[in-house]
Amino acid sequence: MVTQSGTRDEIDEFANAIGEWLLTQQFGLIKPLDFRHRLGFSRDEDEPYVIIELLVSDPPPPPPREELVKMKRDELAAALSWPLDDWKAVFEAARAKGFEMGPPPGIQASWPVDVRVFAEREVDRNEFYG
Amino acid sequence: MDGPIEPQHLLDQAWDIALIEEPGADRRGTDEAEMRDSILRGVRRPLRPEDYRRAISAAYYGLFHAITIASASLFAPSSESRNELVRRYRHGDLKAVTGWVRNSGTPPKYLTNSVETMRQDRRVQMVCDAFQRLNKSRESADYDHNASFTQQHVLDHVRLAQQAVNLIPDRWIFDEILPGSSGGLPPEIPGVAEIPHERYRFVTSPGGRLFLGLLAGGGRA
Repeated sequence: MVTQSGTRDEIDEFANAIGEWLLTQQFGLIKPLDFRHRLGFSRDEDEPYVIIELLVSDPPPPPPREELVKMKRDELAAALSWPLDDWKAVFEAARAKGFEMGPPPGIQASWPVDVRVFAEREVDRNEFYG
Repeated sequence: MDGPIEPQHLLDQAWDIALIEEPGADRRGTDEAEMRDSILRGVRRPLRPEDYRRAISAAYYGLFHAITIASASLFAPSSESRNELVRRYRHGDLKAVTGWVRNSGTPPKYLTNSVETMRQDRRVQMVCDAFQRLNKSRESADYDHNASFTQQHVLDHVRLAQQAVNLIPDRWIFDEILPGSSGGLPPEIPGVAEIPHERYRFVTSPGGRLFLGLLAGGGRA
């Protein structure tokens, strides 16, 4: 819970700064497009952390169906998504930025920020901003 | 049915959901498609958000069990003693020690060298990174009613779990375990062995509970 008065503004400022910074970055094939944020709560931590829900560019289009049907599971997964290292780079960058900025009071010091990546093709923009 | 928990089977559950109903991905006629079809025949309904939540949770548990089994195999040569030992591992403890490895939180002073050694091992780093991420996502999947999940989200988490599990051999150093005393490990578990500490790093919780033994440097990939 956020218990200190006035920290909500600081948390919003912290989250927005990271989100805005992410929008200036490109992570391999992943281009952040927009974001929103909220708080996440851990069962074994008293303090919340910031969740940035990041809308990003779609993965490359999958290959033709005649190729998909021949693929094994791992190949199929790779064909339907971004390179895994690009996806991981988003989290690492946000985490590093969070530590660099320093979490505000009331936010987990050990894990101040987490990112949820949403592909544009799966998220209706109206819903995302609802 | 009985039998021990097989981490890959948990990952298979997660894969089944992650790859169901992908638009344009008609995989009829493949072995995997047949496996998924059999599951769908039992379900007879469209996927629900809870299916995605379960997939993320299953992916996390696949990694959790892969780590604990590999770790316990360091100490317990027999499957019986190993199965007893893995029950001692706690999610919060693995979360703490994997966090130390990835520079989150401060380990107790007596573990500083061990953690530092593990930080130098790229393979251990990747496993710890994946554990941290999946632990966080699993917590949301299981408890956060406000969390949103998409197929893409699930797919990438399952890929991450599979990548990490693939980095963990069934038994990281089992063939090099030296028989001997329990060396501070739970003495009531039969078959617990002592292993050469100069090559391997073991981390115990501040309370003394055994919870993670990771190979750092060398070994089989």
